[in-house]
Amino acid sequence: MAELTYSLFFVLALVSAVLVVFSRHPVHGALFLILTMVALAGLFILINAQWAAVFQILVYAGAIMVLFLFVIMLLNIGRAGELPVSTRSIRRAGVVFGLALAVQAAALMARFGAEAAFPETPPPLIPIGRIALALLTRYLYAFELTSVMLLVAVIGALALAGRRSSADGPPEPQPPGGRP
Amino acid sequence: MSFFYQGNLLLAAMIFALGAFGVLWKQNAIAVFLCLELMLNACNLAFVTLAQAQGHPDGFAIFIFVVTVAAAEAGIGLALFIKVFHEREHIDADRMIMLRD
Amino acid sequence: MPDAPLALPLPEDFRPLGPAGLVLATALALLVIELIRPGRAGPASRGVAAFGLTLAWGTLLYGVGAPGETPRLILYGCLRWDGVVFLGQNVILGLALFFILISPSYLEGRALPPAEYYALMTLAAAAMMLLAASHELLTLFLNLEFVAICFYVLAGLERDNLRSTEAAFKYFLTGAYASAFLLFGISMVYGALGTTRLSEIHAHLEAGALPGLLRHGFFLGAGLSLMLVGFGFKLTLAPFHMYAPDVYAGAPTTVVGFLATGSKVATLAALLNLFRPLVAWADLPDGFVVAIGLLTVASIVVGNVGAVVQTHVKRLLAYSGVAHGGYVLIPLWAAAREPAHWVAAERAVTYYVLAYGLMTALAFGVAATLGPQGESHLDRYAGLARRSPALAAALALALLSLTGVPPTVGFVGKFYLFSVAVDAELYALACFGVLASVASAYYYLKVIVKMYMEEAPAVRAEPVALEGGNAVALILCSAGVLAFALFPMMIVL
Repeated sequence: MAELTYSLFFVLALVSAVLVVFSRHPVHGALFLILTMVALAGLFILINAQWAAVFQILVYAGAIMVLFLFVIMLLNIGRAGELPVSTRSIRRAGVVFGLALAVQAAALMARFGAEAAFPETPPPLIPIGRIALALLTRYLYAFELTSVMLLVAVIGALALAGRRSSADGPPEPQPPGGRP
Repeated sequence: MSFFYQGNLLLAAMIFALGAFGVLWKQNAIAVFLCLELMLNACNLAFVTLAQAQGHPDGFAIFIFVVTVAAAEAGIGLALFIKVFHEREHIDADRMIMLRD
Repeated sequence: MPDAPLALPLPEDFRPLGPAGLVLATALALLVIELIRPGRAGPASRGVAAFGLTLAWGTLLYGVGAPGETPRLILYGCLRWDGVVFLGQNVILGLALFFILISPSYLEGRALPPAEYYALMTLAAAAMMLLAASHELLTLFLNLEFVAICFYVLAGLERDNLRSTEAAFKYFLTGAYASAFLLFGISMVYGALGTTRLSEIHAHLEAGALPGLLRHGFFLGAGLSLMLVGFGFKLTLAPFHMYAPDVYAGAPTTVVGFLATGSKVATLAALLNLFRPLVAWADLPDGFVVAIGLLTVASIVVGNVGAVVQTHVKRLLAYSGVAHGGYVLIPLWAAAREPAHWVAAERAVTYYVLAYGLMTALAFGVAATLGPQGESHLDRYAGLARRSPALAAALALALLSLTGVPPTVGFVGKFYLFSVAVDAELYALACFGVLASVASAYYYLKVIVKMYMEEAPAVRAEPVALEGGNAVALILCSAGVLAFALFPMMIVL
C-alpha cells in the first residue's frame, strides 16, 4: 500500500515538474510548482520526515510561492517578462548539451544508487527537539547569519523596488561632501 | 522500502536536471525564476532524504536554512524583476542609457 | 553522528569574529542614520563607513592579532581562524576601505541612494570576511549567498538606468543558478560523508573511508564536481564566466570593482579551505583533477583571447579577471595531482589573493574616479597622461602589474604561482602560463600606449579633479602594489 502511494506522489512530482518547465504562462508554471512542492511534501511524509513536510507546505508553498503569485498577478506579467534577445541564441546553443548531460547524470544516479546502504524499515521520526538542538548548537552560526540575511533581503527589496518618498521625478544628485 | 530513498534521490536528480534545463530554455524571466526554485526544491529533497536515512538532524537544519535563503533570494529577485519591468514601461527613450555606448 | 552537547561557545571563540562584527555594526549604524535623518545622510555615510572599517581593521591587526601556528576552529567547527583567513580579512578590509573612499566622486551625479549604497558595501565586506573563514559546507553556502545578495542589490541600486538593472537581473539569475549547483553538490557530499564539517570530512578522507550512505565514490566525485561548477561561476572561470562582461559593463563601477576583487578574494580563501581535505584524499577521482585542469586552461585561454578584442574598459577587466582566475588555479591543480605540493600551493594562492586584489582594485579605482569619462570606451583614455598624469600613472601601474612586469605584486604573484607548477614538474603548464602572460601584455599595454602616446580629443581635454579621500585611496593602493612586491616576506604565513 505504501508503495502505491509512493509511486503516486513520485509520478505527481515528476509530472508537475515537467509542466513547470513546459507551461506557456508563468501563472500556470507557478501553480504547477506549488503542486510539485505538495507532492514533495507527500514524499517527505512517506519517509517519516513529517517536520520537513509541514515546513515545506507552510513556508515554501505557503509563503514564498504566494509571494511569487502576488507579483505575477499584480504586475500582470504575461509577455512582459521577455528577456533581451541577445541572450536567446546563447541559451539555446547550450541547452541540448545540458540536457544530454542531465539525462546521463540521472541514469548514473539510478545505477549507482542501488549500491547504497539504505535502511529497509522506515527509520523513526526525528524528534523536533533534536532538530532544534542542532539549530542552536552545531548550526548556531547559520541561525544567526540567516537573520541578518533576511534583514538585508528586506532592505534590498525596498531599496530596489520601493517607491521614492517624493512623488515627482528622480531625486536631485547629492551635493558632494563639503561644499567649498 | 529502501527504494523510497533511492527513488527520492533519483527524483531529486531528475527534477534538478529539469530545472537546470528550464533555466537555459525558457524565454520569460519569471519562468526562469520558477525553474530555479525547482532546482532548489530538488536539493531540499536530497537533503531531507539523506538526513532521514542517516538518522541525524543535520540535513533537516540545512533544509530549513535553504528554504530561508530561497525566501530571501525570491524577495530580492522579484524586487529586481519589478524594477526591470517598471523601468521598461516608464523610462523615456532619450533618458535611457543605450545598450551600446 | 552524535549531537553536540548543549555547551555554549566560549567567549574567546568570538574574538576572531570581532572585526567582522564591527563591520556589521557599522552597516547597521548607517541604516539607523538613514532612518533618523532620511535623505540627508549622504556625506556623513561615507565618513561613518570609513571610520567603522578603519576601526575594524585596527581591531583585526591589534585587538585580535595574527593567529598562531595552529589554526583554530570556532563555533562548532563552522569557521576557521588561521593565517590565510587573517590575511584574507585584512585584504578585504583594505579593499572595502578603498572602494568606500573612491565612491563619493562616483556617486555624485548618479541616482544611487547613498545610505543604502554605503550600508550594503559595508555589509558585503562583513560577509566577505566571514566567507573567507568558512569551514563547513552550510556555512560556506550561506556566506556565499550573503555576499551574493548584497551584490545583487548593489548592482541594481541605480535608479532609472535600465541597462544597469538588466545587468543586475542577469547577475541575479546566473548567481542563483550557480548556488543551486553548489547546493546539490553539497547534498551529494553530505550523503557520501554523513557530515558537513570540513574538519570531520578531512578526517574521513584521510582515513579513506566514506562513512555516509552513498558509499560509492561516484557520489562524492559528482558532488565535488557540482560544487566546482558553483565555484566556477563565482570566480568567473571559463566556461562559466559568460555573465561577467555584461554585468561588469552594466553595473556601477565601484560595485563591480568590489565584486571583482573582494568577493573573489573571499571565495578563493573559502576554496582553499575546501581543497585542504580534498588533497588529503588518496582516491581523489581523476575526472575531478582533469576538470580542474580544464577550468584552468580554459580560463587562461578564454580570458586572454576575450580581452584582446575588447574596447570597453570594464569588459576588458572582466576578461582579465577570467584569465587571472585561471592562473590562480594552477597551484591548486598541481596540489590536486600531487598532494605534497599543498603547502606551497596554499602559500602561492594566498599571496596572489593579495596581489590580485590590489592591482585589480587599482584599475577599477581609476576607472571609477574618471566616472563617465573613463568607465566605458577605451578611446576616452586617449591622452589621459596629459589631462591627469597621476591617474594615468596609477592605471599604468595597475596594468603593468596585471601583465606581470617587475617590480609589481603581479610579477611576484605569478612567479609564485608558476614556481609551484615547476616544482610539480608541470613544465608545460608553467610555460603556458608565462606565454599567456606575455601575450596579455598586448591588451594591457595597448591602454598604456593610448594614455601616453595619443592625443586627447579637444572636446574632452578637461583635467580630472581628484578629491581628497579619493587621492589617498589611490596613492595607498599604488604604494601597496609596489611595496608588497618589494617585501613579499611581509606576509609570509
